[in-house]
Amino acid sequence: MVPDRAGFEAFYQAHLGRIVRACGLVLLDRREAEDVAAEAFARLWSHWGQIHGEDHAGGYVFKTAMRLCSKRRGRAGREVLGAVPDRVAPPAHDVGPSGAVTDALRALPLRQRQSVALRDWAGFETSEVARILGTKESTVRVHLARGRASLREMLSVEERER
Amino acid sequence: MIDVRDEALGALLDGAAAGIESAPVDRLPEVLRRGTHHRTTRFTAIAVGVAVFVGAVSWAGLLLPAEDAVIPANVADWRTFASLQENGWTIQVPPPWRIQELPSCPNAPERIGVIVTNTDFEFLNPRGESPQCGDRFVFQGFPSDGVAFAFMPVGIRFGSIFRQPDTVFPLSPDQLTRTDSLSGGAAESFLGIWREEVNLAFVRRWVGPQATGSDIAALDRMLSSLRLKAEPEWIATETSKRGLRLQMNHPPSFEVTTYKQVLVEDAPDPILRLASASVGSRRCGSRLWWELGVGFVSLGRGSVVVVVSDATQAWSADYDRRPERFGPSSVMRRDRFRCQGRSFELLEFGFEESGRQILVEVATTQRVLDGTKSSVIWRILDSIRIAEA
Repeated sequence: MVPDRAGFEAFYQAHLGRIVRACGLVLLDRREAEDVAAEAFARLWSHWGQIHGEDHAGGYVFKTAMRLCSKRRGRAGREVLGAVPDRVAPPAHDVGPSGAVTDALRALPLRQRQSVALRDWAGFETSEVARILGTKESTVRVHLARGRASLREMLSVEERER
Repeated sequence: MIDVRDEALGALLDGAAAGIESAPVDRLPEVLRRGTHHRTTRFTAIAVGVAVFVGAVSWAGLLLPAEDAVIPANVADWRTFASLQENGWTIQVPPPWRIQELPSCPNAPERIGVIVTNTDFEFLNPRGESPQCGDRFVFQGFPSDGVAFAFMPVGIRFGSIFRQPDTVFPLSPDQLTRTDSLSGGAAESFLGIWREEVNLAFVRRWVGPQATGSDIAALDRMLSSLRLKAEPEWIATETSKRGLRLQMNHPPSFEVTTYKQVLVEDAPDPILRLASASVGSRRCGSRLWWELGVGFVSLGRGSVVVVVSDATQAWSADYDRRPERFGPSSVMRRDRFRCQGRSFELLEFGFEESGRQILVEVATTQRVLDGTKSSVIWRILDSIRIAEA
């Protein structure tokens, strides 16, 4: 069966920006975020014939993108182990003008950053975040609680229920 | 623990995300080329694997995306309606859907309501006016492909007869009770929302006969996004008896009784009892656990009692492995009985876990509606964990 290229292109155009921004909040590097997003969409295209519907595609590409983000962060961590620089160089590609927020995000462990980005920025339900990250919902809630607490303290955000 | 999206943090993250290139470099040709290469590589690997080992097929090639759960692609665009802080509840609404605010009732002026639909239909009461507290809606002319959801505040406080356990969130369509009120039109279902023995509101769901699957999915996701302020967290209770460790979760208002003594050797051995209402010391018939002092204090309360027993040493207990999810199809036996002049329904469940035969008995008064059963009882049963102590 020939995959529907027009359908894939429409989905790609509609959702590329959001995937890049989600990866950007996790990786805090624009170029890496674009690389990850491109690879996630490439993998989606390779399975496009088995995708049924926009929501299925959305779940697949988010899940793939987050896994790729985790791999990238893991590789970056191993690269700096054993090397203690005299001065920490600023990242080559900063996320954007919101320095305080990106500094706060950078201080979070990866899983907390992913959980907060997917729940509070992207708006996924906790159960959906768990499926995207391939973990338990209870684990996501722990990451959310800790990540939010840290961000609120660093950014002086008042905790209030909306 | 029920989680609510932190919109303040979300707004800050949105500011950070906006700093990322809003129009990222379009790498579509590269994406298509790499994706095609992935597909070719995968099928080549499968072909080689099959050629060398019959039946030993590449795992990577069979990692079908169809195994991944369906997750909505566009939920970041959904709007928030109402506020936990100001109105005591909140919900997420698909962006193009029509929102019609419903007025609050005099007993709770902050608790507004809403009716949301994927159509342009305006809901009126039978008098042709905008609906007021407690009003019904006229569905004449509602499109056949329409869906709708309503959160309707309750103005009248019913007496003790209709009290129910706290509603469990997030909601799902199977908790709602179907009605037959709209013959030939949209299918209607409803659920009462209860908190601390007060009926706060009703939610209603309507699905037109020609509604699309995607609209129904969006409707049900909206239903599941409904949150109430300060929902009580469930408690995990753990106990051990004769080498068996039992853990289960329950609403904080439920009473817990554990049984350390073995009363009859070859009968189910009660380990723990949960009760949604204070139990008295009434005795009914010859059922073992009734003799332990189970009873219902108040007339007509929506009461639920759950007793978990170890039936391993009992008469020919030979249960199947525990089901993945408990529900109506898991019921092993149903019964009705009377105790002290009141009627009860009894549901029995049996399953094997960790080498033990576990019997769970659930008794409810007839006032516990189907929606409450599915929301509270199934969740309690699903939380049961059995292990060797």
